[in-house]
Amino acid sequence: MRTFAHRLFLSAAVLLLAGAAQAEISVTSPFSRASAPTAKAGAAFLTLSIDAGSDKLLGGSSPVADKVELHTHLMQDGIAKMRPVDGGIPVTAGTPTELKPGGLHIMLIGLKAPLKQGESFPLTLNFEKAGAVSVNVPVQGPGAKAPMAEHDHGGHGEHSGHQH
Amino acid sequence: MKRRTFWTGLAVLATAALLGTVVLVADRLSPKKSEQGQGRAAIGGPFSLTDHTGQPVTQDILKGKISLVYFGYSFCPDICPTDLQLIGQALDQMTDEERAEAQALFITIDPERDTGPQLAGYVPLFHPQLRGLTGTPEQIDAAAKAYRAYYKKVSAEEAGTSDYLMDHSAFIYLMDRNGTFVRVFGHGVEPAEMLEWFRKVRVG
Ligand SMILES: [Cu+2]
Repeated sequence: MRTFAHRLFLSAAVLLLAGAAQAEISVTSPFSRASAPTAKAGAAFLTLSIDAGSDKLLGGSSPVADKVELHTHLMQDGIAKMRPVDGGIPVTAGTPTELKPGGLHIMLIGLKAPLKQGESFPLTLNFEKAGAVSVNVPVQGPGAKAPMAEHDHGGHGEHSGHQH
Repeated sequence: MKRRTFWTGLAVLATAALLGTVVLVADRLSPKKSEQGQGRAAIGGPFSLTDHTGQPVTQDILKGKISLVYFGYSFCPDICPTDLQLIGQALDQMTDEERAEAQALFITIDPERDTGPQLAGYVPLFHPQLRGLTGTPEQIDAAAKAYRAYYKKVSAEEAGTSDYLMDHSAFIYLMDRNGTFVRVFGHGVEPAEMLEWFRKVRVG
């Protein structure tokens, strides 16, 4: 029994080590929100996962904005406080890290052009181990809460489709 | 400057505590009780602002309409769009007659960025009926005080970001036809809940 457990532990350790060397980051369900014509900022939301080990999202860049920052929102007694994330956003195998409205987000500061519903823009994410990973971010409605699964949930009810 | 910071901090704490209490009270009381509940007299009051089309407005615009009032800023990519979208959805779910009696107001707490033209591009994203209100810093301050709305500028240096941010309370205020406070809804409230309360107020 002891030998079996020991062997199991060893093989798990070997698997982990092997995994760490070739861990693959996936960035899924990216979306952004349509902005006002004169908007100075926007945000991108997405899910990060890694098939083995762990990594850390350190930052990013996009041609649509002067700056890309990692932010989060804290809600304290009904007061919303947006703050930069210190030390990056960790990604661990087995638990996808969701960047979604109300919490972690990728903040686009100094928008060069308004984000238009139905369009998309490239975003490059920089990870501590994996390096640069690029993703295309579709722009949904101005208050979209999740990546579009069913058709057209981006806008506000019946007025939502007018930019398509 | 130090002194001012102290008093601002104190006001902020008091406001946060008061709002917290109001939310708790509003949530716990039954609908009927809450309509006559406490906090009613404490929230709302005179304001003098300018709407996104440049038209000057006062608290008189509340008269004769049932209003949803929200304080936020357009630079906020996350919390404000979510809540404004929910307000837009509540309006969409109303009948035409109901919608004609409804009013949705977005009062900026970031007048430095949210000028009339900025709001003119922003508010229609959420609903054609949403009206954006801005003003001088003093006017915004007075309006926020009347509604016990909390906001605070966090400089870029302080926040560690490339542009300044605004901390702000994220509440949707429901005001009746007399401009009297009915209750607040917290961030992320279901449009159906706003609609339910709107209807209660509408039929009196
Ligand atoms: Cu942000």
